[in-house]
Amino acid sequence: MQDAGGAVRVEIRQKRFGEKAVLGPIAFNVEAGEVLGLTGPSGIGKSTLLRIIAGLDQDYEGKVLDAGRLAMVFQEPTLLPWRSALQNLTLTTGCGAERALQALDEVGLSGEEESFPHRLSLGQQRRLALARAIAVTPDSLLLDEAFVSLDDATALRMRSLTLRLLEPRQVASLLVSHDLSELATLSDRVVYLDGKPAEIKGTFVFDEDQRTRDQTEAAKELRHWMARTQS
Amino acid sequence: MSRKTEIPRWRASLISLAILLLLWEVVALLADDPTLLPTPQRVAAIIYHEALDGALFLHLSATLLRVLAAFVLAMGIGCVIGLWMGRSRTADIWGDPWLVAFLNLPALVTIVLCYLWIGLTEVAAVAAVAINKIPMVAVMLREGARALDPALDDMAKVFRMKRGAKLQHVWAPQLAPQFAAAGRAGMALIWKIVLVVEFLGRSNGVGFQIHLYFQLFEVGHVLAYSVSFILVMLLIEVFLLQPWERHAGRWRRRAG
Repeated sequence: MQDAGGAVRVEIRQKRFGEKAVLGPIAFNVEAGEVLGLTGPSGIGKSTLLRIIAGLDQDYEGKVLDAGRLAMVFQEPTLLPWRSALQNLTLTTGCGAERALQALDEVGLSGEEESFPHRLSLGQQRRLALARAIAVTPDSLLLDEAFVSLDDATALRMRSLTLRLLEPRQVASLLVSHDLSELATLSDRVVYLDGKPAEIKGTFVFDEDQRTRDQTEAAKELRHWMARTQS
Repeated sequence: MSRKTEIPRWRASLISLAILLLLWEVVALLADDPTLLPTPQRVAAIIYHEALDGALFLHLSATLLRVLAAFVLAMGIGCVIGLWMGRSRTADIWGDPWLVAFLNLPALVTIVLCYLWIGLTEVAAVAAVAINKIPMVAVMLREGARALDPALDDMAKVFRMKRGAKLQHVWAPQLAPQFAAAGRAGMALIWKIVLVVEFLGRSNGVGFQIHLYFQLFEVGHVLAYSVSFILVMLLIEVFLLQPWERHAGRWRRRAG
């Protein structure tokens, strides 16, 4: 469903897999220009929640209103290996070559337009997936552990790049991650999911915005908050 | 440390064919009966004569047109059925027994029934061949469709790819190996069935000529038409199928 006035509004009553309820009542909003972090134990249903918001799973009780054009960065880069980097943007999103080249340039992949994804490193593939997401000029963006299995240095560069890309855009973003540094770098708020079925156990709001906050301190605060929430 | 020099594939193929011709030559000389087994030179002379006469091209083209018509029909319908059964569990459950039945239907039965029901026409001939081939294409494509990457489907859905674009850029490249295998196996099977169809009920084509010379006990002519059509199929393999396969798989090489 669309038209949430530049925001994502989620009101889920329940999500079941057969007899088993995996998600309980969950409600939150993500405003335009805001990044909401979503974390919780493995297998708690974060990716299921993201799939519901993305419209990939429609078998649930409740409603999701999204801002309009939605883009997603998946856990795996999920590229078309038989198409070039440029075609991965133009054919998938329907954007023009000029827009695609601009998106490639923004993620630092200029000169790789004709490269096939397998020729690129994992970091470059993830940047290509990010370029695909911004190429659609999204109103809402879902990032599902988008920087997982990268080495520390590459992950750090990816986080900075994502922050730089999101900053000038009024995109309602939802970031699923286990990585506290990632959440501390990119999020305005962090929602913690837990329980069976999963519910929101608490929301952490950072005092300062992403540009001014001390990332190490922010991650530490988040860790303490999560420890308190879990207990 | 010594390392064996590997012989190029095309050269090995040529040498292998030359050995086959040599064997044929030796057996023909040992048999010493041109009416039973003529030498390759004698068969080549017949081919040359039939080509000059124009009969060879007339019958080759008639067979080739039937092969192409049946091939396009079988690949088209077989792909649609295979994709449908591969993607829909209901279609698979209900369609599978039909597929098994048609897979086990002998080609001869289909041909005879088509001729009986439709008449000794071109439509019956092409339909009989296509009906024989459709189940095999469907089975191959069904396996491919079952193995389509669900993550790419999700990606296509999130980015709202149009149905045509998804088919062309997401599904078709994943199905290319099954499509190529079905195409290659299809070509090999179809032209053999076309010869039977022509043998039983057409008044032109390689199968008709083989029937004619079988009745006249002209082994040389039977071999001449068979060899000619094998050469045509080899040319299709080398100049159409293989280049298409190379084109479809170029991303793998560039990726390597």
